[in-house]
Amino acid sequence: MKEKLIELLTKLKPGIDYQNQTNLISGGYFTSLEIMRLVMLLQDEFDVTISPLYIVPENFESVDAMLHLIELVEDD
Amino acid sequence: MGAYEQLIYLLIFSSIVYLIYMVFVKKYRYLVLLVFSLGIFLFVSRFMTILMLASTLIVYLFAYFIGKRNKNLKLQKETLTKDEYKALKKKVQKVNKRLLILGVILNLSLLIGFKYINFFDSILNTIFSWFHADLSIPMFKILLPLGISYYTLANTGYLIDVYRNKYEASTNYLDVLLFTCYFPCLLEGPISHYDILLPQLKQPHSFNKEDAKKGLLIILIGLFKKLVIADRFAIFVTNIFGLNVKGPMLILGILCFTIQLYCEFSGIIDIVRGVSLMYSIKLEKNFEQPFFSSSVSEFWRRWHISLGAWFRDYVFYPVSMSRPLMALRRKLSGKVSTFFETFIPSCIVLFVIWSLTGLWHGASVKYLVYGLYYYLIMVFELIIDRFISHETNQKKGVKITRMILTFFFVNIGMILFRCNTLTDFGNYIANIFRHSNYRFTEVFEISELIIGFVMIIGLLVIEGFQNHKVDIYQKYQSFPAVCRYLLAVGLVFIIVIFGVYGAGYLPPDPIYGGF
Repeated sequence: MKEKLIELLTKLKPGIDYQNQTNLISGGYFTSLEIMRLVMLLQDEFDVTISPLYIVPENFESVDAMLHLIELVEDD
Repeated sequence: MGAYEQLIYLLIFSSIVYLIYMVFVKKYRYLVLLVFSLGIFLFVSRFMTILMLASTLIVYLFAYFIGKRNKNLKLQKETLTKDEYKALKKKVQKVNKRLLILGVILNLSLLIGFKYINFFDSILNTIFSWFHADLSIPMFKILLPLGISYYTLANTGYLIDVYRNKYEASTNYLDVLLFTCYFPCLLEGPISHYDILLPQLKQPHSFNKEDAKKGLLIILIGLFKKLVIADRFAIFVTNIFGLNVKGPMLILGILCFTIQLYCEFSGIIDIVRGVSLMYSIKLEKNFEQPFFSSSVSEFWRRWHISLGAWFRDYVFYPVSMSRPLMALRRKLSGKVSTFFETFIPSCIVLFVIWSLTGLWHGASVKYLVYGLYYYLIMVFELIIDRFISHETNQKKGVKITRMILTFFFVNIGMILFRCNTLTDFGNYIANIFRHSNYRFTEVFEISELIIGFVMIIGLLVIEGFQNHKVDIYQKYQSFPAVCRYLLAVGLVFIIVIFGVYGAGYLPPDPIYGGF
Protein backbone atom coordinates (compact mmCIF):
# COMPACT_ATOMS: atom_id res chain seq x y z
CA MET A 1 0.00 0.00 0.00
CA LYS A 2 2.86 2.36 0.87
CA GLU A 3 4.56 1.74 -2.49
CA LYS A 4 1.29 2.38 -4.29
CA LEU A 5 0.85 5.66 -2.43
CA ILE A 6 4.39 6.81 -3.15
CA GLU A 7 3.88 5.96 -6.81
CA LEU A 8 0.71 8.05 -6.80
CA LEU A 9 2.43 11.00 -5.13
CA THR A 10 5.37 10.86 -7.51
CA LYS A 11 2.95 10.93 -10.41
CA LEU A 12 1.27 13.99 -8.91
CA LYS A 13 4.45 15.80 -7.97
CA PRO A 14 7.80 14.28 -8.84
CA GLY A 15 11.18 15.13 -7.34
CA ILE A 16 10.25 14.87 -3.65
CA ASP A 17 11.74 12.33 -1.23
CA TYR A 18 8.40 10.92 -0.08
CA GLN A 19 10.03 8.18 2.04
CA ASN A 20 11.55 10.69 4.43
CA GLN A 21 9.70 13.98 3.99
CA THR A 22 7.49 14.79 6.99
CA ASN A 23 6.58 18.38 6.17
CA LEU A 24 4.85 18.11 2.83
CA ILE A 25 2.29 20.76 3.77
CA SER A 26 4.09 22.97 6.30
CA GLY A 27 7.20 22.89 4.10
CA GLY A 28 5.18 24.27 1.19
CA TYR A 29 5.62 21.25 -1.10
CA PHE A 30 1.88 20.88 -1.64
CA THR A 31 -0.77 23.56 -1.99
CA SER A 32 -4.38 23.07 -0.97
CA LEU A 33 -5.30 22.92 -4.66
CA GLU A 34 -2.89 20.04 -5.23
CA ILE A 35 -4.21 18.33 -2.12
CA MET A 36 -7.69 18.34 -3.61
CA ARG A 37 -6.37 16.47 -6.62
CA LEU A 38 -4.52 14.08 -4.34
CA VAL A 39 -7.77 13.45 -2.43
CA MET A 40 -9.45 12.44 -5.69
CA LEU A 41 -6.55 10.12 -6.56
CA LEU A 42 -6.65 8.55 -3.08
CA GLN A 43 -10.42 8.08 -3.28
CA ASP A 44 -10.19 6.41 -6.68
CA GLU A 45 -7.10 4.33 -5.95
CA PHE A 46 -8.07 3.05 -2.50
CA ASP A 47 -11.87 3.10 -2.95
CA VAL A 48 -12.56 5.30 0.06
CA THR A 49 -14.55 8.48 0.68
CA ILE A 50 -12.61 11.25 2.37
CA SER A 51 -14.84 13.75 4.17
CA PRO A 52 -13.71 17.41 4.25
CA LEU A 53 -13.35 16.88 8.00
CA TYR A 54 -10.21 14.87 7.38
CA ILE A 55 -8.65 17.41 5.06
CA VAL A 56 -6.36 18.97 7.62
CA PRO A 57 -2.61 19.53 7.15
CA GLU A 58 -1.65 16.85 9.72
CA ASN A 59 -3.20 14.13 7.55
CA PHE A 60 -1.07 15.00 4.54
CA GLU A 61 2.31 15.93 6.05
CA SER A 62 3.90 12.53 5.30
CA VAL A 63 3.24 9.24 3.55
CA ASP A 64 2.64 7.58 6.93
CA ALA A 65 0.07 10.22 7.87
CA MET A 66 -1.75 9.62 4.59
CA LEU A 67 -1.70 5.84 5.13
CA HIS A 68 -3.17 6.40 8.58
CA LEU A 69 -5.88 8.59 7.03
CA ILE A 70 -6.80 5.88 4.51
CA GLU A 71 -7.11 3.33 7.33
CA LEU A 72 -9.23 5.79 9.29
CA VAL A 73 -11.71 6.48 6.49
CA GLU A 74 -11.89 2.77 5.59
CA ASP A 75 -13.34 2.12 9.06
CA ASP A 76 -15.68 5.09 8.93
CA MET B 1 -23.04 55.98 17.18
CA GLY B 2 -19.55 57.13 16.13
CA ALA B 3 -16.49 54.94 16.02
CA TYR B 4 -14.98 56.28 19.24
CA GLU B 5 -18.23 56.10 21.11
CA GLN B 6 -18.51 52.47 20.02
CA LEU B 7 -14.95 51.79 21.13
CA ILE B 8 -15.32 53.58 24.44
CA TYR B 9 -18.71 51.97 25.12
CA LEU B 10 -17.24 48.57 24.29
CA LEU B 11 -14.42 49.08 26.77
CA ILE B 12 -16.67 50.46 29.56
CA PHE B 13 -19.30 47.83 28.87
CA SER B 14 -16.66 45.07 28.85
CA SER B 15 -15.28 46.25 32.20
CA ILE B 16 -18.76 46.23 33.81
CA VAL B 17 -19.61 42.80 32.37
CA TYR B 18 -16.19 41.56 33.49
CA LEU B 19 -16.79 42.63 37.09
CA ILE B 20 -20.28 41.11 37.19
CA TYR B 21 -19.02 37.91 35.55
CA MET B 22 -16.26 37.43 38.10
CA VAL B 23 -18.58 37.79 41.12
CA PHE B 24 -21.53 35.84 39.68
CA VAL B 25 -22.39 32.26 40.76
CA LYS B 26 -19.64 30.26 39.10
CA LYS B 27 -21.87 27.65 37.47
CA TYR B 28 -23.99 30.27 35.66
CA ARG B 29 -21.31 32.72 34.62
CA TYR B 30 -21.99 32.03 30.94
CA LEU B 31 -25.46 33.48 31.47
CA VAL B 32 -23.84 36.84 32.28
CA LEU B 33 -22.18 36.75 28.85
CA LEU B 34 -25.45 35.74 27.20
CA VAL B 35 -27.64 38.35 28.90
CA PHE B 36 -25.22 41.22 28.31
CA SER B 37 -24.49 40.14 24.73
CA LEU B 38 -28.22 40.13 24.01
CA GLY B 39 -28.51 43.44 25.83
CA ILE B 40 -25.89 45.16 23.67
CA PHE B 41 -27.45 43.62 20.58
CA LEU B 42 -30.86 45.01 21.51
CA PHE B 43 -29.33 48.39 22.39
CA VAL B 44 -27.54 48.75 19.05
CA SER B 45 -29.73 46.77 16.65
CA ARG B 46 -33.14 47.30 18.28
CA PHE B 47 -35.83 45.34 16.43
CA MET B 48 -33.23 43.97 13.98
CA THR B 49 -32.20 41.66 16.84
CA ILE B 50 -35.05 39.49 15.68
CA LEU B 51 -32.98 38.60 12.61
CA MET B 52 -30.16 37.28 14.74
CA LEU B 53 -32.63 35.32 16.87
CA ALA B 54 -34.26 33.89 13.75
CA SER B 55 -30.94 32.95 12.17
CA THR B 56 -29.91 31.19 15.39
CA LEU B 57 -33.25 29.38 15.61
CA ILE B 58 -32.96 28.15 12.02
CA VAL B 59 -29.50 26.67 12.47
CA TYR B 60 -30.37 25.31 15.92
CA LEU B 61 -33.44 23.41 14.65
CA PHE B 62 -31.87 22.09 11.48
CA ALA B 63 -28.67 21.07 13.28
CA TYR B 64 -30.78 19.40 15.98
CA PHE B 65 -32.66 17.20 13.48
CA ILE B 66 -29.55 16.41 11.44
CA GLY B 67 -27.58 15.63 14.60
CA LYS B 68 -30.33 13.38 15.91
CA ARG B 69 -30.29 11.31 12.72
CA ASN B 70 -26.49 11.11 12.81
CA LYS B 71 -26.61 9.94 16.42
CA ASN B 72 -29.23 7.25 15.71
CA LEU B 73 -27.12 5.99 12.83
CA LYS B 74 -24.09 5.71 15.09
CA LEU B 75 -26.11 3.80 17.68
CA GLN B 76 -27.25 1.28 15.09
CA LYS B 77 -23.74 0.68 13.74
CA GLU B 78 -22.98 -2.17 16.15
CA THR B 79 -26.25 -4.02 15.53
CA LEU B 80 -26.07 -4.00 11.72
CA THR B 81 -23.92 -5.85 9.21
CA LYS B 82 -21.45 -3.79 7.20
CA ASP B 83 -23.67 -3.76 4.11
CA GLU B 84 -26.81 -2.94 6.10
CA TYR B 85 -24.97 -0.10 7.81
CA LYS B 86 -23.71 1.26 4.49
CA ALA B 87 -27.23 1.22 3.04
CA LEU B 88 -28.69 2.94 6.10
CA LYS B 89 -25.88 5.50 6.14
CA LYS B 90 -26.59 6.38 2.51
CA LYS B 91 -30.26 6.85 3.31
CA VAL B 92 -29.59 9.00 6.38
CA GLN B 93 -27.05 11.12 4.54
CA LYS B 94 -29.48 11.73 1.69
CA VAL B 95 -32.15 13.13 3.99
CA ASN B 96 -29.57 15.03 6.04
CA LYS B 97 -28.20 16.64 2.89
CA ARG B 98 -31.68 17.91 2.01
CA LEU B 99 -32.13 19.27 5.51
CA LEU B 100 -28.74 20.93 5.34
CA ILE B 101 -29.45 22.58 1.99
CA LEU B 102 -32.79 23.88 3.24
CA GLY B 103 -31.26 25.14 6.50
CA VAL B 104 -28.38 26.88 4.74
CA ILE B 105 -30.72 28.48 2.17
CA LEU B 106 -33.08 29.74 4.88
CA ASN B 107 -30.21 31.11 6.96
CA LEU B 108 -28.40 32.74 4.06
CA SER B 109 -31.66 34.18 2.73
CA LEU B 110 -31.69 36.54 5.71
CA LEU B 111 -28.23 37.80 4.78
CA ILE B 112 -29.03 37.93 1.07
CA GLY B 113 -32.35 39.66 1.73
CA PHE B 114 -30.80 42.44 3.75
CA LYS B 115 -27.41 42.82 2.14
CA TYR B 116 -27.89 41.96 -1.51
CA ILE B 117 -31.49 42.83 -2.38
CA ASN B 118 -30.55 46.23 -3.83
CA PHE B 119 -27.61 44.69 -5.70
CA PHE B 120 -29.97 42.26 -7.46
CA ASP B 121 -32.41 45.13 -7.98
CA SER B 122 -29.78 47.23 -9.72
CA ILE B 123 -28.72 44.30 -11.93
CA LEU B 124 -32.33 43.72 -12.99
CA ASN B 125 -32.86 47.44 -13.63
CA THR B 126 -29.73 47.53 -15.79
CA ILE B 127 -31.00 44.56 -17.80
CA PHE B 128 -34.40 46.26 -18.21
CA SER B 129 -32.70 49.42 -19.43
CA TRP B 130 -30.76 47.44 -22.07
CA PHE B 131 -34.05 46.32 -23.55
CA HIS B 132 -35.57 49.80 -23.11
CA ALA B 133 -38.25 48.21 -20.96
CA ASP B 134 -40.44 50.67 -19.15
CA LEU B 135 -39.87 48.89 -15.92
CA SER B 136 -37.87 49.75 -12.84
CA ILE B 137 -37.74 47.99 -9.50
CA PRO B 138 -37.50 50.49 -6.64
CA MET B 139 -34.50 50.32 -4.32
CA PHE B 140 -35.16 49.41 -0.71
CA LYS B 141 -33.96 51.61 2.11
CA ILE B 142 -32.46 48.96 4.35
CA LEU B 143 -29.98 49.40 7.16
CA LEU B 144 -27.60 46.48 7.35
CA PRO B 145 -28.18 44.76 10.71
CA LEU B 146 -25.21 44.71 13.08
CA GLY B 147 -22.79 41.85 12.52
CA ILE B 148 -25.08 39.96 10.13
CA SER B 149 -22.24 39.08 7.72
CA TYR B 150 -20.23 37.62 10.58
CA TYR B 151 -22.80 35.72 12.60
CA THR B 152 -24.57 34.27 9.53
CA LEU B 153 -21.31 32.71 8.39
CA ALA B 154 -20.42 31.50 11.89
CA ASN B 155 -23.70 29.72 12.51
CA THR B 156 -23.86 28.34 8.95
CA GLY B 157 -20.48 26.80 9.78
CA TYR B 158 -22.01 25.25 12.90
CA LEU B 159 -24.82 23.66 10.85
CA ILE B 160 -22.41 22.24 8.27
CA ASP B 161 -20.09 20.88 10.98
CA VAL B 162 -23.00 19.01 12.58
CA TYR B 163 -23.96 17.63 9.17
CA ARG B 164 -20.37 16.47 8.69
CA ASN B 165 -20.49 14.78 12.08
CA LYS B 166 -17.63 16.89 13.38
CA TYR B 167 -19.45 17.20 16.71
CA GLU B 168 -22.91 16.62 18.12
CA ALA B 169 -25.68 19.16 17.68
CA SER B 170 -26.56 21.27 20.67
CA THR B 171 -29.79 20.38 22.46
CA ASN B 172 -29.94 23.82 24.05
CA TYR B 173 -31.00 26.84 21.96
CA LEU B 174 -29.29 29.18 24.42
CA ASP B 175 -25.91 27.59 23.67
CA VAL B 176 -26.21 28.36 19.97
CA LEU B 177 -27.52 31.81 20.83
CA LEU B 178 -24.53 32.52 23.07
CA PHE B 179 -22.16 31.37 20.32
CA THR B 180 -23.90 33.62 17.78
CA CYS B 181 -24.19 36.80 19.81
CA TYR B 182 -21.05 36.77 22.02
CA PHE B 183 -20.63 40.54 22.28
CA PRO B 184 -16.93 41.22 21.54
CA CYS B 185 -17.25 39.57 18.11
CA LEU B 186 -20.32 41.52 17.03
CA LEU B 187 -18.71 44.35 15.12
CA GLU B 188 -15.88 42.80 13.11
CA GLY B 189 -15.62 39.11 14.05
CA PRO B 190 -13.49 37.02 14.04
CA ILE B 191 -15.78 34.36 12.57
CA SER B 192 -15.43 31.60 15.16
CA HIS B 193 -15.86 27.84 15.11
CA TYR B 194 -18.58 26.52 17.45
CA ASP B 195 -16.45 23.65 18.81
CA ILE B 196 -13.64 26.05 19.69
CA LEU B 197 -15.62 28.98 21.08
CA LEU B 198 -18.67 27.53 22.86
CA PRO B 199 -16.84 25.23 25.34
CA GLN B 200 -14.79 28.26 26.37
CA LEU B 201 -17.89 30.44 26.75
CA LYS B 202 -19.65 27.79 28.84
CA GLN B 203 -16.67 27.10 31.08
CA PRO B 204 -16.93 29.07 34.34
CA HIS B 205 -13.71 31.05 34.26
CA SER B 206 -12.20 32.58 37.37
CA PHE B 207 -9.91 35.57 37.45
CA ASN B 208 -6.57 34.55 35.92
CA LYS B 209 -3.84 37.09 36.51
CA GLU B 210 -1.70 35.99 33.57
CA ASP B 211 -4.59 36.03 31.07
CA ALA B 212 -5.81 39.39 32.41
CA LYS B 213 -2.33 40.92 32.05
CA LYS B 214 -1.83 39.55 28.57
CA GLY B 215 -5.38 40.56 27.60
CA LEU B 216 -4.79 44.13 28.76
CA LEU B 217 -1.54 44.34 26.83
CA ILE B 218 -3.26 43.08 23.65
CA ILE B 219 -6.01 45.69 24.16
CA LEU B 220 -3.34 48.39 24.48
CA ILE B 221 -1.65 47.22 21.28
CA GLY B 222 -5.06 47.29 19.57
CA LEU B 223 -5.70 50.84 20.80
CA PHE B 224 -2.24 51.85 19.62
CA LYS B 225 -2.89 50.48 16.14
CA LYS B 226 -6.33 52.08 15.94
CA LEU B 227 -5.85 55.47 17.59
CA VAL B 228 -2.20 56.22 16.90
CA ILE B 229 -1.68 54.72 13.44
CA ALA B 230 -4.99 54.00 11.67
CA ASP B 231 -6.77 57.23 12.61
CA ARG B 232 -3.66 59.30 11.81
CA PHE B 233 -3.44 57.86 8.30
CA ALA B 234 -7.22 58.12 7.94
CA ILE B 235 -6.86 61.93 7.96
CA PHE B 236 -4.52 61.79 4.96
CA VAL B 237 -6.81 59.36 3.16
CA THR B 238 -9.81 61.64 3.78
CA ASN B 239 -7.80 64.57 2.36
CA ILE B 240 -6.75 62.62 -0.72
CA PHE B 241 -10.32 61.60 -1.52
CA GLY B 242 -12.09 64.72 -0.27
CA LEU B 243 -9.88 67.21 -2.11
CA ASN B 244 -9.82 65.19 -5.35
CA VAL B 245 -6.04 65.31 -5.36
CA LYS B 246 -4.09 64.63 -8.56
CA GLY B 247 -0.45 63.74 -9.14
CA PRO B 248 2.13 61.28 -7.80
CA MET B 249 0.99 62.06 -4.25
CA LEU B 250 -1.79 59.57 -4.88
CA ILE B 251 0.77 56.76 -4.64
CA LEU B 252 1.38 57.81 -1.04
CA GLY B 253 -2.40 57.95 -0.65
CA ILE B 254 -2.66 54.25 -1.56
CA LEU B 255 0.00 53.38 0.99
CA CYS B 256 -1.79 55.47 3.63
CA PHE B 257 -5.06 53.62 3.05
CA THR B 258 -3.36 50.21 3.24
CA ILE B 259 -1.83 51.19 6.59
CA GLN B 260 -5.14 52.64 7.81
CA LEU B 261 -7.15 49.55 6.90
CA TYR B 262 -4.66 47.09 8.34
CA CYS B 263 -4.12 48.94 11.62
CA GLU B 264 -7.81 49.64 12.07
CA PHE B 265 -9.09 46.13 11.38
CA SER B 266 -6.27 44.28 13.14
CA GLY B 267 -6.37 46.85 15.97
CA ILE B 268 -10.07 46.27 16.62
CA ILE B 269 -9.53 42.51 16.41
CA ASP B 270 -6.70 42.88 18.97
CA ILE B 271 -9.11 44.70 21.30
CA VAL B 272 -11.70 41.95 20.80
CA ARG B 273 -9.12 39.23 21.46
CA GLY B 274 -7.75 41.09 24.46
CA VAL B 275 -11.20 41.58 26.00
CA SER B 276 -11.93 37.86 25.51
CA LEU B 277 -8.58 36.80 26.91
CA MET B 278 -9.35 38.67 30.12
CA TYR B 279 -12.14 36.07 30.59
CA SER B 280 -9.56 33.40 29.59
CA ILE B 281 -11.45 32.95 26.31
CA LYS B 282 -8.98 32.49 23.47
CA LEU B 283 -10.35 33.63 20.10
CA GLU B 284 -8.95 32.42 16.81
CA LYS B 285 -6.31 34.58 15.10
CA ASN B 286 -7.43 36.90 12.34
CA PHE B 287 -4.06 38.31 11.20
CA GLU B 288 -0.58 36.86 10.98
CA GLN B 289 1.86 39.48 9.72
CA PRO B 290 0.21 39.65 6.27
CA PHE B 291 2.73 42.07 4.77
CA PHE B 292 5.49 39.48 5.05
CA SER B 293 3.73 37.26 2.51
CA SER B 294 5.57 36.23 -0.61
CA SER B 295 2.45 35.62 -2.70
CA VAL B 296 -1.05 37.01 -2.86
CA SER B 297 -2.44 33.58 -1.93
CA GLU B 298 -0.23 33.62 1.17
CA PHE B 299 -1.36 37.17 1.95
CA TRP B 300 -4.96 35.98 2.07
CA ARG B 301 -3.99 33.14 4.39
CA ARG B 302 -2.60 35.77 6.78
CA TRP B 303 -5.19 38.53 6.33
CA HIS B 304 -8.72 38.12 7.73
CA ILE B 305 -7.78 34.51 8.50
CA SER B 306 -11.18 33.59 9.93
CA LEU B 307 -12.97 34.60 6.71
CA GLY B 308 -10.45 32.69 4.57
CA ALA B 309 -10.78 29.65 6.84
CA TRP B 310 -14.57 29.81 6.56
CA PHE B 311 -14.45 29.88 2.77
CA ARG B 312 -11.87 27.06 2.80
CA ASP B 313 -13.92 24.82 5.10
CA TYR B 314 -17.40 25.48 3.79
CA VAL B 315 -17.00 26.52 0.15
CA PHE B 316 -13.62 25.39 -1.14
CA TYR B 317 -13.90 21.76 0.05
CA PRO B 318 -17.49 21.17 -1.03
CA VAL B 319 -16.91 22.76 -4.44
CA SER B 320 -13.58 20.95 -4.92
CA MET B 321 -15.10 17.63 -3.97
CA SER B 322 -18.36 18.15 -5.82
CA ARG B 323 -19.35 15.57 -8.40
CA PRO B 324 -18.85 17.84 -11.46
CA LEU B 325 -15.35 18.84 -10.31
CA MET B 326 -14.39 15.25 -9.48
CA ALA B 327 -15.75 14.14 -12.86
CA LEU B 328 -13.73 16.86 -14.57
CA ARG B 329 -10.56 15.76 -12.76
CA ARG B 330 -11.15 12.16 -13.83
CA LYS B 331 -11.80 13.28 -17.39
CA LEU B 332 -8.57 15.28 -17.48
CA SER B 333 -6.52 12.52 -15.86
CA GLY B 334 -3.93 11.27 -18.34
CA LYS B 335 -5.27 13.45 -21.16
CA VAL B 336 -3.45 16.65 -20.25
CA SER B 337 -0.16 17.31 -18.49
CA THR B 338 0.03 16.88 -14.67
CA PHE B 339 0.08 20.66 -14.31
CA PHE B 340 -3.17 21.17 -16.18
CA GLU B 341 -4.81 18.30 -14.27
CA THR B 342 -4.52 20.50 -11.17
CA PHE B 343 -4.67 23.88 -12.86
CA ILE B 344 -8.00 23.63 -14.71
CA PRO B 345 -10.15 22.49 -11.73
CA SER B 346 -8.27 24.99 -9.53
CA CYS B 347 -9.27 27.86 -11.83
CA ILE B 348 -12.93 26.89 -11.46
CA VAL B 349 -12.80 26.51 -7.66
CA LEU B 350 -10.88 29.75 -7.20
CA PHE B 351 -13.35 31.59 -9.42
CA VAL B 352 -16.24 30.55 -7.17
CA ILE B 353 -14.31 31.36 -3.97
CA TRP B 354 -13.15 34.79 -5.09
CA SER B 355 -16.46 35.87 -6.60
CA LEU B 356 -18.10 35.06 -3.26
CA THR B 357 -15.30 36.64 -1.22
CA GLY B 358 -15.64 39.81 -3.26
CA LEU B 359 -19.41 39.90 -2.80
CA TRP B 360 -19.11 39.18 0.92
CA HIS B 361 -17.25 42.49 1.22
CA GLY B 362 -20.08 44.40 -0.36
CA ALA B 363 -23.11 44.16 -2.59
CA SER B 364 -21.87 45.83 -5.76
CA VAL B 365 -20.12 45.12 -9.02
CA LYS B 366 -17.05 46.87 -7.63
CA TYR B 367 -16.65 44.27 -4.89
CA LEU B 368 -17.16 41.47 -7.39
CA VAL B 369 -14.35 42.94 -9.48
CA TYR B 370 -12.30 43.29 -6.27
CA GLY B 371 -12.64 39.55 -5.68
CA LEU B 372 -11.93 38.68 -9.30
CA TYR B 373 -8.85 40.93 -9.27
CA TYR B 374 -7.35 38.65 -6.62
CA TYR B 375 -8.59 35.62 -8.53
CA LEU B 376 -6.63 36.64 -11.62
CA ILE B 377 -3.47 37.25 -9.63
CA MET B 378 -3.78 33.85 -7.97
CA VAL B 379 -4.25 32.13 -11.33
CA PHE B 380 -1.17 34.00 -12.54
CA GLU B 381 0.74 32.81 -9.46
CA LEU B 382 -0.24 29.21 -10.20
CA ILE B 383 1.27 29.58 -13.67
CA ILE B 384 4.43 31.29 -12.35
CA ASP B 385 4.93 28.59 -9.70
CA ARG B 386 4.86 26.01 -12.47
CA PHE B 387 8.21 27.38 -13.62
CA ILE B 388 9.82 28.17 -10.26
CA SER B 389 10.92 25.22 -8.17
CA HIS B 390 10.21 24.93 -4.44
CA GLU B 391 13.96 25.33 -3.71
CA THR B 392 14.22 28.53 -5.80
CA ASN B 393 11.21 29.98 -3.99
CA GLN B 394 12.99 29.45 -0.67
CA LYS B 395 15.99 31.63 -1.69
CA LYS B 396 16.14 34.92 0.21
CA GLY B 397 16.41 37.13 -2.90
CA VAL B 398 13.45 35.44 -4.57
CA LYS B 399 11.42 35.65 -1.38
CA ILE B 400 12.08 39.38 -0.93
CA THR B 401 11.30 40.11 -4.60
CA ARG B 402 8.04 38.20 -4.33
CA MET B 403 7.25 39.99 -1.06
CA ILE B 404 7.65 43.40 -2.75
CA LEU B 405 5.54 42.32 -5.73
CA THR B 406 2.84 40.97 -3.40
CA PHE B 407 2.82 44.27 -1.52
CA PHE B 408 2.42 46.12 -4.81
CA PHE B 409 -0.55 44.00 -5.96
CA VAL B 410 -2.19 44.17 -2.55
CA ASN B 411 -1.95 47.97 -2.60
CA ILE B 412 -3.67 48.11 -5.99
CA GLY B 413 -6.39 45.87 -4.53
CA MET B 414 -6.67 48.18 -1.53
CA ILE B 415 -7.36 51.24 -3.64
CA LEU B 416 -9.94 49.34 -5.66
CA PHE B 417 -11.50 48.48 -2.30
CA ARG B 418 -11.45 52.11 -1.15
CA CYS B 419 -12.83 53.77 -4.30
CA ASN B 420 -16.62 53.95 -4.44
CA THR B 421 -17.00 52.78 -8.02
CA LEU B 422 -14.90 51.24 -10.77
CA THR B 423 -14.91 54.61 -12.57
CA ASP B 424 -13.49 56.25 -9.43
CA PHE B 425 -10.80 53.58 -9.35
CA GLY B 426 -9.93 54.20 -13.01
CA ASN B 427 -9.78 57.96 -12.36
CA TYR B 428 -7.61 57.44 -9.27
CA ILE B 429 -5.04 55.44 -11.25
CA ALA B 430 -5.14 57.91 -14.18
CA ASN B 431 -4.78 60.90 -11.83
CA ILE B 432 -1.47 59.53 -10.49
CA PHE B 433 0.08 60.44 -13.86
CA ARG B 434 -1.41 63.95 -13.98
CA HIS B 435 0.18 67.17 -12.69
CA SER B 436 -0.30 67.82 -8.99
CA ASN B 437 -3.15 70.22 -8.22
CA TYR B 438 -2.15 70.63 -4.56
CA ARG B 439 1.10 71.24 -2.74
CA PHE B 440 2.28 68.25 -0.71
CA THR B 441 1.90 70.14 2.57
CA GLU B 442 -1.71 71.00 1.74
CA VAL B 443 -2.58 67.32 1.78
CA PHE B 444 -0.11 65.85 4.24
CA GLU B 445 1.01 67.44 7.47
CA ILE B 446 4.71 66.57 7.45
CA SER B 447 5.13 66.13 11.21
CA GLU B 448 2.04 63.90 11.41
CA LEU B 449 3.23 61.88 8.45
CA ILE B 450 6.65 61.35 10.08
CA ILE B 451 5.04 60.32 13.38
CA GLY B 452 2.75 57.93 11.50
CA PHE B 453 5.61 56.31 9.60
CA VAL B 454 7.82 56.02 12.71
CA MET B 455 4.95 54.20 14.45
CA ILE B 456 4.17 51.87 11.55
CA ILE B 457 7.86 51.03 11.12
CA GLY B 458 8.02 50.23 14.85
CA LEU B 459 5.02 47.95 14.46
CA LEU B 460 6.49 46.25 11.38
CA VAL B 461 9.79 45.61 13.20
CA ILE B 462 7.87 43.79 15.94
CA GLU B 463 5.90 41.88 13.31
CA GLY B 464 9.18 41.02 11.59
CA PHE B 465 10.30 39.25 14.78
CA GLN B 466 6.93 37.51 15.03
CA ASN B 467 7.36 36.42 11.43
CA HIS B 468 10.54 34.67 12.53
CA LYS B 469 8.54 32.80 15.18
CA VAL B 470 9.69 35.01 18.07
CA ASP B 471 7.06 35.00 20.83
CA ILE B 472 6.94 38.72 21.63
CA TYR B 473 4.85 38.25 24.79
CA GLN B 474 7.28 35.65 26.13
CA LYS B 475 10.16 38.05 25.40
CA TYR B 476 8.24 40.81 27.21
CA GLN B 477 7.71 38.52 30.18
CA SER B 478 11.43 37.73 30.33
CA PHE B 479 12.22 41.41 31.07
CA PRO B 480 12.63 42.55 34.70
CA ALA B 481 9.36 43.79 36.27
CA VAL B 482 10.48 47.46 36.15
CA CYS B 483 11.11 47.29 32.41
CA ARG B 484 7.76 45.55 31.83
CA TYR B 485 5.83 48.25 33.69
CA LEU B 486 7.82 51.00 31.99
CA LEU B 487 7.01 49.52 28.58
CA ALA B 488 3.30 49.17 29.40
CA VAL B 489 3.08 52.69 30.85
CA GLY B 490 5.09 53.97 27.86
CA LEU B 491 2.56 52.43 25.51
CA VAL B 492 -0.29 54.11 27.40
CA PHE B 493 1.53 57.45 27.13
CA ILE B 494 2.11 56.96 23.40
CA ILE B 495 -1.62 56.27 22.94
CA VAL B 496 -2.61 59.30 25.04
CA ILE B 497 -0.07 61.69 23.49
CA PHE B 498 -0.02 60.51 19.88
CA GLY B 499 -3.56 59.14 19.59
CA VAL B 500 -5.74 61.04 17.12
CA TYR B 501 -8.83 62.20 18.95
CA GLY B 502 -10.30 65.21 20.70
CA ALA B 503 -12.60 68.11 19.87
CA GLY B 504 -13.03 68.90 16.20
CA TYR B 505 -11.81 65.54 15.04
CA LEU B 506 -14.39 63.29 13.48
CA PRO B 507 -13.15 59.70 13.69
CA PRO B 508 -13.82 57.33 10.80
CA ASP B 509 -16.26 54.45 11.22
CA PRO B 510 -14.59 51.04 11.28
CA ILE B 511 -14.40 49.95 7.64
CA TYR B 512 -14.96 46.26 8.28
CA GLY B 513 -17.77 47.08 10.70
CA GLY B 514 -19.83 48.06 7.66
CA PHE B 515 -19.99 44.48 6.44
